[in-house]
Amino acid sequence: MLRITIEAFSGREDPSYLMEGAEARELLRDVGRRPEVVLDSQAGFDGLGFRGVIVESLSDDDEENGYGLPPKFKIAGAAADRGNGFDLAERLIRALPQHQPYPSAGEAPAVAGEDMVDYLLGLLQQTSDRQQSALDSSAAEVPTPEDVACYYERSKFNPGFWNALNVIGKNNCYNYATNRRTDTFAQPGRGVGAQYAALSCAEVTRAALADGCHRRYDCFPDSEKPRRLVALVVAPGFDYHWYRIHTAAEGFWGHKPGGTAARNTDNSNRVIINPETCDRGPYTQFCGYFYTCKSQADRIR
Amino acid sequence: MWVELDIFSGRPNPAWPLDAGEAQTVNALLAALPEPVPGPQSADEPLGYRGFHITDPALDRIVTVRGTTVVVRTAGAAGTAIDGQAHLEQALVEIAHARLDPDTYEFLLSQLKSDPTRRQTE
Repeated sequence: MLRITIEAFSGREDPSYLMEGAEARELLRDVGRRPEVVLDSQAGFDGLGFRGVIVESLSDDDEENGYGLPPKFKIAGAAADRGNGFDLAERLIRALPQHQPYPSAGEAPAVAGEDMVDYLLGLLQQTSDRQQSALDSSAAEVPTPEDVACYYERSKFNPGFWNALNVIGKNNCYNYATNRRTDTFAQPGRGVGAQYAALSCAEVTRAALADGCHRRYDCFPDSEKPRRLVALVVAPGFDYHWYRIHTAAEGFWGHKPGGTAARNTDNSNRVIINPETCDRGPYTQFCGYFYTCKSQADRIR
Repeated sequence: MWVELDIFSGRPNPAWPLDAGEAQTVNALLAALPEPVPGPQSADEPLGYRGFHITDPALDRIVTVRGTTVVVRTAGAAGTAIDGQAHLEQALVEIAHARLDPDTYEFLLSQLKSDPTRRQTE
């Protein structure tokens, strides 16, 4: 009998469940074949966000202890190594809805839903991205973000355009970020029949890429001018939001929360210098930076 | 009579028509409010919960409710009334409970807890 704990939260208890029988043996066999992914349960990253998956044996069953593994260990503990077991961590996160929760104390919560899985996978992806960036910067033969120069266009902050009575209620954050009025309250992916199916970084990103956005540092040619640098955030399971950078002289980002007024201030009424650190209210997950472009703007609906 | 929960940015806001009983309740609460005071309204429209909008085409009026603040807009004019105990917002939250999926309703409740305008009524 194994106890699986996804270490990701700060205030609330980390999701935890029991795994037994063939499933447990299969996991231990797979981990046993990759001893490089095994960390001490106390090792690794201990800050905010995803910190690893704890696998703990709850029995002295000889079958489960025959794989040369310690009775309690961690995988995907954010060690700066390609063999860190993120694939195994993903597998264990995706298994959450199939198992009853096993908290350390008190009444068991409800079975984790797909929203929780999406949220945890998003955290895992952020950690994986950080690790991948670190690896890229140390591999001289692989171009790093610092080595790539992409050009994009910055427009002057013009809230009056978006706040006109016949525009404001029909155009949302995605319209604003793309700088394209459609009067359809544009949704990522809808214009190409690939709208997001979940409110997660992964799904909204997929939909925006389907529209023709590029991830930052994946450059657009001059033929795709105007190209905008934008940022995506989500309130996991509930909604998404976008920001667009304005001129260097202005030095801030603008946004348009739904059908409300376009502005350059955050929820604390501070000018937005950095969308990663500004007050985003419930949009707690930062998904990343992207470029919009002319053909993407033509596609959004 | 329609109610829109102004809470999202990317997605469209949830909205629903009121049935006769709900409309009667809302109208009674609106009628009990003091006369709106004309003047400029607050521009506080954050990410997250921003209140409820009640649209009544018959009266060509949009009422926005957030905490104790009720803004009444008609063609070319707007005024603010104070609902001291936020009864109107509470009624709209109860109506929303019957309309929203459980997760979105819980999201609304979490937003209400952190809404500074609501904290003033507690």
